[in-house]
Amino acid sequence: MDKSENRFHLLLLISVFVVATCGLIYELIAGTVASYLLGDSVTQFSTIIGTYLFSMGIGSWLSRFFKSNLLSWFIRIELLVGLTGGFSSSLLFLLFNQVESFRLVLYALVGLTGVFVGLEIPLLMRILKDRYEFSDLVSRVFTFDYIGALLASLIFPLVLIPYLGLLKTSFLFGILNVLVAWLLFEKFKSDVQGKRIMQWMLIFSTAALLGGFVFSERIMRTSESLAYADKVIYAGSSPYQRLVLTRNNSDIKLFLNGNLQFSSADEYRYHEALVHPACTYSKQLNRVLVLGGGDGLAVRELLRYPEIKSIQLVDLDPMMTKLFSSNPLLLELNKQALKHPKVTINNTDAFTWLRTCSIQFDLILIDFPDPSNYSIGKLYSTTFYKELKRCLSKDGLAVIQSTSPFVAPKSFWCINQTLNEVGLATQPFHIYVPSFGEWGYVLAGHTIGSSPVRPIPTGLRFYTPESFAQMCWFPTDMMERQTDVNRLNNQVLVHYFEKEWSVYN
Amino acid sequence: MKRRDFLLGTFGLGLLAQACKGNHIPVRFESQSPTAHKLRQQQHAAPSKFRSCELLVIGAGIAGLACMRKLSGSTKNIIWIESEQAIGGNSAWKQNSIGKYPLGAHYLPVPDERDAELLQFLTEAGCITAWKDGLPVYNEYHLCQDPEERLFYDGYWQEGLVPSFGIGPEDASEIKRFFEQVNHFKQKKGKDGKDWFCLPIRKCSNDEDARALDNLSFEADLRNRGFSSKALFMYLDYCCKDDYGCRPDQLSAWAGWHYFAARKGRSANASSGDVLTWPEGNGFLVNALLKQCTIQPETGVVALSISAENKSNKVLIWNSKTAEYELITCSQLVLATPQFVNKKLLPAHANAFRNWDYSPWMVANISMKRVPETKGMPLSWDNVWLGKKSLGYVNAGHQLLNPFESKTILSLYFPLCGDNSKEKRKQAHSYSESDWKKWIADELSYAHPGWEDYCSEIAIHLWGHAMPKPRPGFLTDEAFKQQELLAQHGIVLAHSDLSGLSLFEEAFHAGNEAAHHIQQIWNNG
Ligand SMILES: Cc1cc2nc3c(=O)[nH]c(=O)nc-3n(C[C@H](O)[C@H](O)[C@H](O)COP(=O)(O)OP(=O)(O)OC[C@H]3O[C@@H](n4cnc5c(N)ncnc54)[C@H](O)[C@@H]3O)c2cc1C
Repeated sequence: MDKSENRFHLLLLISVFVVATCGLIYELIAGTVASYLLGDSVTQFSTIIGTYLFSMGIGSWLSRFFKSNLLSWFIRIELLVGLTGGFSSSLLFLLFNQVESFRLVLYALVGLTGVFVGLEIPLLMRILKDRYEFSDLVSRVFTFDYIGALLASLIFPLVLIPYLGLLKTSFLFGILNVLVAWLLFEKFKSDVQGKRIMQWMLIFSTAALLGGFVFSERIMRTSESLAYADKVIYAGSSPYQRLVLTRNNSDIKLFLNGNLQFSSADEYRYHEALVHPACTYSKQLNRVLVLGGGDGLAVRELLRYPEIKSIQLVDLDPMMTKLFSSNPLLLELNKQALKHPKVTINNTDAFTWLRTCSIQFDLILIDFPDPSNYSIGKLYSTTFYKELKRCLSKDGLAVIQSTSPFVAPKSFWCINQTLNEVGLATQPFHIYVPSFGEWGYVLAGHTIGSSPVRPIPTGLRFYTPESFAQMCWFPTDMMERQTDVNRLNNQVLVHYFEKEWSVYN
Repeated sequence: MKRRDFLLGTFGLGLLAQACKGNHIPVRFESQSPTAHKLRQQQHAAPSKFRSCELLVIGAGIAGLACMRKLSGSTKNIIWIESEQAIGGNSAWKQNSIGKYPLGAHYLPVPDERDAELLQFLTEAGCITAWKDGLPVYNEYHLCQDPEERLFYDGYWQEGLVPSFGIGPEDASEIKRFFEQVNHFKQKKGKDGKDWFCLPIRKCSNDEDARALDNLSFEADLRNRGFSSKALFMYLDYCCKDDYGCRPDQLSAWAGWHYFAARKGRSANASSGDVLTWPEGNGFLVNALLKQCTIQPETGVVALSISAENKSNKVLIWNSKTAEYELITCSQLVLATPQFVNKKLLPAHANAFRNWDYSPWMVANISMKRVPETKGMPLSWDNVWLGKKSLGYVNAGHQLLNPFESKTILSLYFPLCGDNSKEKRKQAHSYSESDWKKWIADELSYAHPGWEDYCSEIAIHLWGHAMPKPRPGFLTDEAFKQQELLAQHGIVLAHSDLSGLSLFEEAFHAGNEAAHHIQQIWNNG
């Protein structure tokens, strides 16, 4: 063999090596992105490897249909691999929040890359087969293929992910694929058909991938998954709000519009305090109404009382109640509370619902978002509390989550005084929830008994009847202060809340 | 392609995209009944049907409704007609897939607690729920919710309608002095013991000093009192257009001060500046009045002419549903119609009607999927800007209680205030949908750039004769004396424009008084 032949062989084998490395890298990227976004890495990796290998098989099988112009085809396929592989991780990150069936997109993308990668080696072998003796060819190609795979699996976790990150890595390997295409194109220009078009395609692919590499930071920022400290395991938008679930080991957090709603590590404190004082002080417990609380965690606590006959849950957002009645992790957290036969769910606006409600309840739990804007402030007004009073049975009790009496004492006491204004007796109390800080509630009713009328259920982790007196005691920095009453036509609460929390933040 | 061509091409495309912005938004005129046109016609065919009754009431605006409410349960033979398909006149409303919206009047200020008749009606309508310490407690669902008003000034939404940011200290002190003057007028009583300013205006004092304010324009009076702040005048310009459809220099000073000083209603749970409002605007009050009427109006029936003969008035009407002319003979007749219509109905008695100059208005109801916001206060009930052609808009969805609904309807108010109302009216009627759209876009883009992307529909309603302008001298008019003459024929007038102030309270009392008058005639046999 002369020198130039030699160089040519070397070039082809380098191509095999690059192609092999890229192929494995794409597979690793898909697996990593999937386990980052969806959690449960064992499942993600094994299903993705399976899909990938299977698609490669399809690709090899498809290679038989390529009869002529093998070199042109090979270059085209290199470009396709480069583009799909290069953009795969960005696409996955960006689409995760936008599309309904993310898994479909994920496996389709993995499958597509697999098919293209599967086509590469068979085509290359056929291109080379006239230039090598067969056994020699097979051994060489596979040697380089496996060396490439080894290299990929080592540098991926040790170098690429820590130094480049997922997006840059994908773009980089996309560019390598396209470079192989360039090399082959330059070398065999004379054999390639449609040179001009091919040249443009090469220029376009290189530019696109380089652009992606340069702007990957910005793409990453657009994808909100990284706005959270922990892994995002679910994100979705309903017409009303943006729901994001994150997970860090066993701690699951729910964010609504970026605000922490609960952390599974300490939500039991919050929900036990919301439910059990009210339940144990309520003479009757036949009919219970929950406004807000579509996560089913308050309902979980309610279901500890066998005497409760029915629970009506009103939460605006169907996406929320659907998520908490279907996601296995969340079902474990709320003990399938929303699927319990005693529970009826109504996805509608709480104000409108209560206004037209014609029955009375023994217990009403109110778990609305904080009054941070005028729309939500209405749900804390005298008008709303009058409807609440109307729907409360004679001995019935209501409990209202009332923001932090430490951060926002005026807001907290304003809610208390607004309830008093409509003629309800109140008992404010507070607890400490590590992920929220000091948190407050107001117990309200036509009258409130002086002692509990039933024992607490077994299995509670936080609340005891003895601790209630202490919860009702407010130290000096959270002590009652005089405020205006929150009415629809003054909305003072929103003003208080805005002022107090802005100082705190 | 050369680089230059390419650049030019993209530039052109950009311009094109800009020009096409909002092209998708459908604009339509609210359907107008064919009856208005009928009234303008000179010649009419002979009637093919004949009816007679003891009382014919023409018009189902607030005045007609109030009159018929008061006559409820009467055993007399009464016919009531209304030219439009929908009742309510200037307080009519409509509904689309997003919700209800007003075509004209949209609020009622918390009324004077001495106005027993009005408070009685408001109690029956569910607007007053109780009394506390001698004061009415208003239904909280009907009191305008907070945030009530915001003002777009210097690129920023500020709270309230009176400019407070971005103005100089002289402006601020003049504004303060202006409201001190208003408070002074609020308290002021005449030698006859009556308030200088209150509603309805026939209850106002006849003091010469007070009446002297009717001899000059509001602007002239303000200048005489040493007011000159630009910010104050911009604000007052807005107020005058809002209530009277004219500028301070066209308005009687008495009417100008009345706007501010007559609103002193007290309540247990609202302050005197507060207002009652509903998604359908005063359409709520229209429905409440209608519910109490035992007789329903025949709609789509227009009165064309009246021949007044002693106690036997013959009224030619046209029914748009059957396309038939009809002659109604009645002994008593209530004209709950505006003066410009009355003149056409009774040309022989034209001097009994007031010679008002009516300003035209356009109200555009703009359906929005979401209101794209700019800096400052969030979306409020009344959203106002100064120094533009329109006054701003009212958020029709404001009183609804669905906290997460972003769809709403904005009612943009657009008075056409010129010195020549006739000319303005002609101009307004000549505008096409796309002409109006350009005007509307110009207004909305001022405070809400990018609004086109969220707009799903614009419905335009034109009021050719929206409201009379209370020009200097409006309180004294010879026409009053002529009305005695009409009464002899059994013709009673009932309309807000009799007083010169186009307000719910005036219409309501005009209707009540007409009914009272009729009842007296019947009682006296
Ligand atoms: C754009 C706009 C905004 C307004 N905003 C407010 C507000 O916010 N608050 C407020 O208090 N006031 C407001 N007003 C004033 C409003 O005019 C009064 O509140 C009130 O509705 C007037 O009632 P009315 O009965 O006196 O007159 P109209 O409403 O004029 O009633 C007259 C009725 O007679 C009918 N009619 C006329 N001619 C004939 C005929 N030939 N045959 C049969 N029927 C006929 C008409 O169709 C109409 O229904 C507003 C007015 C306009 C135009």
